[in-house]
Amino acid sequence: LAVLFLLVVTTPVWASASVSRLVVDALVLVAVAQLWSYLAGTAGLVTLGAHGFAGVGAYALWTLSERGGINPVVAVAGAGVVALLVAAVVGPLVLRLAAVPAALATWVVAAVCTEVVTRTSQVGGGEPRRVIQPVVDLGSSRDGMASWLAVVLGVGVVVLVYGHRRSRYGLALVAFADDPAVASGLDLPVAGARRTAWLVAAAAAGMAGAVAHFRTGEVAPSAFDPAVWTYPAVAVAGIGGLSTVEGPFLGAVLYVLLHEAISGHDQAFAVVMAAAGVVGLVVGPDGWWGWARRALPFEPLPVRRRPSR
Amino acid sequence: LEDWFRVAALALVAGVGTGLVAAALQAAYRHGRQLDLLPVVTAAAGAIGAARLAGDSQLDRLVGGLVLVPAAVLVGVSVHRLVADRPRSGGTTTRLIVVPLAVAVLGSSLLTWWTGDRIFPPALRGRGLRFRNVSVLTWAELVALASGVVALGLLALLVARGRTGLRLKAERDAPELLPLVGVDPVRVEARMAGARAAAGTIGGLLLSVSGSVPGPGLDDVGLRAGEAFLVGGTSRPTGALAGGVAVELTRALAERAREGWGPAAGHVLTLLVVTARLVRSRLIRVPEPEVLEEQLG
Repeated sequence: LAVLFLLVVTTPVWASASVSRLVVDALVLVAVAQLWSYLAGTAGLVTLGAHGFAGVGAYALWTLSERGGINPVVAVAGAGVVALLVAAVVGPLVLRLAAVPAALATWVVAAVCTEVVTRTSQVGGGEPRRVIQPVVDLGSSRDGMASWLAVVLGVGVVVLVYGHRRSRYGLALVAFADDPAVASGLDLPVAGARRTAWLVAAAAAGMAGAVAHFRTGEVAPSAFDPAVWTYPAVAVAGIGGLSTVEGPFLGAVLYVLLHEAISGHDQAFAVVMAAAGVVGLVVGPDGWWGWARRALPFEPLPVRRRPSR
Repeated sequence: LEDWFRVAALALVAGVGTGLVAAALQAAYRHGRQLDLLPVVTAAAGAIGAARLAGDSQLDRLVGGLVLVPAAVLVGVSVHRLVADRPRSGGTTTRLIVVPLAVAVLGSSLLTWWTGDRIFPPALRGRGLRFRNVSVLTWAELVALASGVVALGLLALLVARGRTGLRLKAERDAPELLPLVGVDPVRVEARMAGARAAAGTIGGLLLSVSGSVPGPGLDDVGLRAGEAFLVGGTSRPTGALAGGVAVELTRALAERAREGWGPAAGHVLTLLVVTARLVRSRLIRVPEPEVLEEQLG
């Protein structure tokens, strides 16, 4: 795992253009899937609207760099802020609902974002596709920059989730998932922890959408496609499970590698991965990775705390 | 004016279809707090299957699609048998939401694979009720509307008063009771899952008859049914029906007023209703018994 991590972090230095493209795809999916799994597995919030925030991020990149004249690299971070702001506005609604209505509400929020953005020409909508000229003007350095942005995003999200999971906020969420009554009785900071996870997940999805379109140099309404963002996150949850940090990371990498291996058969690939996801989730909460993990003599990224003697 | 009437009448048929799918979602939620999106998949499958296998007229599609209902029941029961309550060691969210969601994504992917990128033409409208020389509602649409209402009534009866519904209620209240009287809870739940899948298929047929054939992705029927569920509330099947009609009417009338903005109007209506519900529940929150006692002295 350490070798894989090192290889990923140094990708922009050694990788060819095709490998670099794969790594960008993988790390972008890592960012979305990691936080999707964390929200679902620990915060008890299943979001069906990850694609909404990713799309908002993609179009925010166009708006900020093309219209606002902001440096495209800075605009990627700005896209995360825009997605975070959207999440902050709808957060009080979503976080107060029970799990099932909340999941459906996130779906509706994503649909509203899709409709509003793709129909408003001021933010890039109204056209089948928009070229992000400041990004295209970067020329040959664009691929390298996209790789670095993906590395910062993907690795940053893994580190952030690991840190949050081990912090008292993460522990509060775990306690709440185990026994809500006891967690409430102990006055654990569950609401704050859920809110933080929700906002960070939205910002990360927004930046993921921005990075993915930074690489291609254009935005299109397909930026809001759930088959690109939300459904792969569900499949990755089946492969990597919901309760570990390294599981979604490995699941996302495997997902992108398999996609590359059988490219050109997207619909069959979607069926295979969805089936793998279902089987992985049905056999255990840790998915396919849970099986492999049990055979290991150590925990790759331990998140459990053992009481001191 | 005639055209507005026609749009509203078709939206009513679509609304009953959407409401039926929403009632199926609601039944799963009411019983076990589950997000069962399989009725959404069977709705899309019913609509697409009827368009692909039956003729082009509304009646052909309606009759041809009804043949698919037993298949939907079989799928619902089988899927429930395979994945219900799994993973056994998983958390509540995983079992009740993530696994059913993954199953629905698989169903939707299979449907997309089957249909490819093909778009099916809307069913050809026949004769029916006319208003100022405009066909407002065809006989096939009327039959579809009646079938939808009957199906919803049967689902409501099954959930609330039927033997299956009473057993489900007993299981919810005292899970240890059913095995003692020789009832297998898994079988009861599987039967309910089959009924939900069937309701989804009939709902999909209504959508298919009343307008364009829904796409295979979850984000078409699923989103509409989810909105109807949120608008109509979680407690009564009639609420789901009202939610479905409200969402479809809003979409259709907004689309008629300004082309392309129909779906957005449905989404906004949903968010407004959910927000209003939350605000209302905060404003008129009933005090805890201890607080009430203290206030009353």
